[in-house]
Amino acid sequence: MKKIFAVSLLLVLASAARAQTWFKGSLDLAVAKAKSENKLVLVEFYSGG
Amino acid sequence: MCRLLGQQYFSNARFQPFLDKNFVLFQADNGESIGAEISRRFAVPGTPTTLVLGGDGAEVDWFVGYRPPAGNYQAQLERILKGRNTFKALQSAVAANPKSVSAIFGLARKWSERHDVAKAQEKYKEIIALDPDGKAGFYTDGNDFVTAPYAEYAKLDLAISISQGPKPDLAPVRAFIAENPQSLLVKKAFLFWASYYGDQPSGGDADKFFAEFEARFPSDPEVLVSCLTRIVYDKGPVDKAVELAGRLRALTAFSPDPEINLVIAQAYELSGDKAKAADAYGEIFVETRVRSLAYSLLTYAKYWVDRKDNLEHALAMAEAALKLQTNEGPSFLRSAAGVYLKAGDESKALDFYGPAWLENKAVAKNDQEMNSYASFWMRQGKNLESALAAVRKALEIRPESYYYWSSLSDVYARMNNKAEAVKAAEKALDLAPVTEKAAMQKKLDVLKGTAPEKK
Repeated sequence: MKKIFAVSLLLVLASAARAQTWFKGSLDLAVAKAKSENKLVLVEFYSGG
Repeated sequence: MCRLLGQQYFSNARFQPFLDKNFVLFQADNGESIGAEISRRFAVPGTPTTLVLGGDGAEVDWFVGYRPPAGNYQAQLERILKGRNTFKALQSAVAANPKSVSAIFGLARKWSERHDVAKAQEKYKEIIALDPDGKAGFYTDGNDFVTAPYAEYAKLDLAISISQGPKPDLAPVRAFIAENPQSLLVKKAFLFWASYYGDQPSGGDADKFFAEFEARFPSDPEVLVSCLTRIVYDKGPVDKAVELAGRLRALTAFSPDPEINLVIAQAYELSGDKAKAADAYGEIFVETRVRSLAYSLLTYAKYWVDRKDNLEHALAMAEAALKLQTNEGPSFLRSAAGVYLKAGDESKALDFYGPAWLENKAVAKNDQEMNSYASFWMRQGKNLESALAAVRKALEIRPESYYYWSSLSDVYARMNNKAEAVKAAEKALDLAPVTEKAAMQKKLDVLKGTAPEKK
């Protein structure tokens, strides 16, 4: 039981810590990928400081 | 990435399946060449800005800024996916019907949000020309829920955007107020004016404006706060500050707001009345607000748990309520336990309102609280051994209480111990006052199986 709990906890922690995958490459390539996957492109425009 | 948006939304596991399913995610730092290029290409006004592009690379929609909680951001993306009020949908609507005032207004607001003043003004002027009398429908502002004709909103928005030019000029806003004296938007016009005069030196026009503002809306807390804030900033006149503070307290007594009470306290401080300042914004005030918030969160959790909807957030708020009120009495704990039990989390309910709570000598409990604990768990049909212990303790303190004997009978009945349930019910009947004898007799009859059949 303890083992199952430990494995579950690890899975939960791994899931919570998983960072979102950001597209690497140009915006045009991102648009092409979105088109092929029938998705939209979400552009987050930010100030890195 | 915008730090807060990243922490609260993009790194939150709760939203990742939604993002994975619907979007290719692309980041653009305006300090890097790719960000500068995108900023030029789409005329992005500032950060954080979210642009949503279609498979053809054209803008589907956008929104500027991030206002927590993360659910706000998620709701915007869901709206865009549904094609509701998006730039693309509004453009299509105008293409299909160039006289659609509601769609043109939507586009004007989109350009305004993106700080494209010229395009926004062009759309507002189109609306005024198409619908000079404001008969083409109404718009409700999502922030203050004020409803007014599209054309009136267009006139005010146009006036404000002209006033905000390189050389601030209040004349267009003044003209809007003069031409639309009955409009529900007059207060918005005054508030815009207040934001201008709030930064101007006191005396002269600024003083005249705030006097007029207060005279026009003497019972509006938002207006009075604006006026009082100005007086506090100017450190006088003190008599006026005290008068406004008193009026504000009366107007907000039904639902006090900490931000308003802060200004009220500052006003009393100006007059040297520290006691009144502490009364308005001291420990008791804040503790009362915290307690009220904790109960509100529990009520919220119960609302959603009862509907078997929004469960994750409902339980998160129940948890927050428990953290806020660590010293609250058992009725609060009982309400929280009821929420968790309804959500199917018996173990969590037992954590804070189970045997450990009952046995914890550091938490003082009287006989009524122990009996309530027993009754609560008896009704749930759970934790019955502990419920039995609780009602026995209550009876040790008040053995003459027929009510506790009745509870004891209920607990035994729930435990399917009919003999003990009958014995306790007989004792309850024996001790019951005359007014309760019939009810106790009925209970005993039911337990013995001798209750008369209902006709």
